[in-house]
Amino acid sequence: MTRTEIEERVKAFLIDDLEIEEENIFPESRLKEDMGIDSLDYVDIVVIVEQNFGFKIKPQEMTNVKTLSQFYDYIESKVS
Amino acid sequence: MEWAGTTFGNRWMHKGLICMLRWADVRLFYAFTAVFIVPVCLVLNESRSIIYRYFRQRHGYGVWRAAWKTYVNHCLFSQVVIDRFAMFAGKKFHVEMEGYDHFLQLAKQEAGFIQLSSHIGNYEIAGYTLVAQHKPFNALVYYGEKQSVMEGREQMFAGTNIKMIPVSHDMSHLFMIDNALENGETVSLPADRIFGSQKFITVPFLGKPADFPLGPFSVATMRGLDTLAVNVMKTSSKSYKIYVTPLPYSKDAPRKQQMEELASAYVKELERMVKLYPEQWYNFFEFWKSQPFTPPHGRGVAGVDEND
Repeated sequence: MTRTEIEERVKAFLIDDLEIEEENIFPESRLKEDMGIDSLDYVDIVVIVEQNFGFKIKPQEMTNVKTLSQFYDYIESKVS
Repeated sequence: MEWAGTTFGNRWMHKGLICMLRWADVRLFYAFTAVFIVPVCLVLNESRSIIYRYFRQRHGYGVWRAAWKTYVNHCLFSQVVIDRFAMFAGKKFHVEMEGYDHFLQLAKQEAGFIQLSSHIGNYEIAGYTLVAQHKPFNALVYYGEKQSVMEGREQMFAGTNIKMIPVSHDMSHLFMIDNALENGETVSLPADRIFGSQKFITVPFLGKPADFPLGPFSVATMRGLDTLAVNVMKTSSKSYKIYVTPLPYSKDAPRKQQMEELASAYVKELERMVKLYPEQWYNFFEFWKSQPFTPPHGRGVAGVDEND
């Protein structure tokens, strides 16, 4: 899976499932401060990532994921 | 209002109470608290005015009836607390069930399911009765609960397939819940108090909009799981009745609609219970919105009246 495909899929579920405004979605966007993602959303993200990318996020692995770009990097490291 | 969830008293008080309850009839303690404890609590705590308004505004009671029911409500709450410790002391209560077949049907399935409870009646007395032999049961409990209460629970759950998931501020309990459900287990959690995530859903309840935590409905609909409402209501000094009610929602609908439908079904059942047992409402805080209703972003429910 390419980086572009990862970004497109993530952007799609951020908009459709988490109802985040598209104008708030940039690689530099901070998950919590800019996109308003809280701990409840993380549970959704775990399930959605599992459905879209085939692996289960471990909560402790997300500790250092603060921005969307870091989230893309994380997924890319798991699927490659 | 965030979930406080801790029992009054210290470890030694609880231990002493459990020791006495091993030998004494619970009704002695009911009488003692009704005469000596509840009146003092009514004077000192603001719960008195909150519950009084609940009876006046939500049930339309007159002044004197609401005042009397406020006293009865506090007496019943003290009985609920006493009954919990009586249970830890080994006392048994007669339990009647309505809707048990719904539970049995879901217990046979491989998929996990959710039981939603509320702070009415006394879930702890018999809510854990609904435990399938071959399906682990996970109960969400408050992490900061007094040690004596947690020890009592551990003692009761020893040898069973009941596990406790402590609620924590870092929300790790949500992941534990999701793991349990993914493994086909049962998860029990209350759905009437907001804790941690501030995301909520507003639903009309007893004629006025009220906020309910989004978490339970989000967790259930995320995996399209079957959900039951389980309420345990006190029917006499030594008897309870468990109400098990399926909560339907359209699993093919958009996610937001699913959560709204599930929340509405839960609140509908909660309303039914509270109308049957109005004195057994134990959310001692301002549960309903005081300001005119404005739908929160992405979470409001259409068609709600703005005024009380």
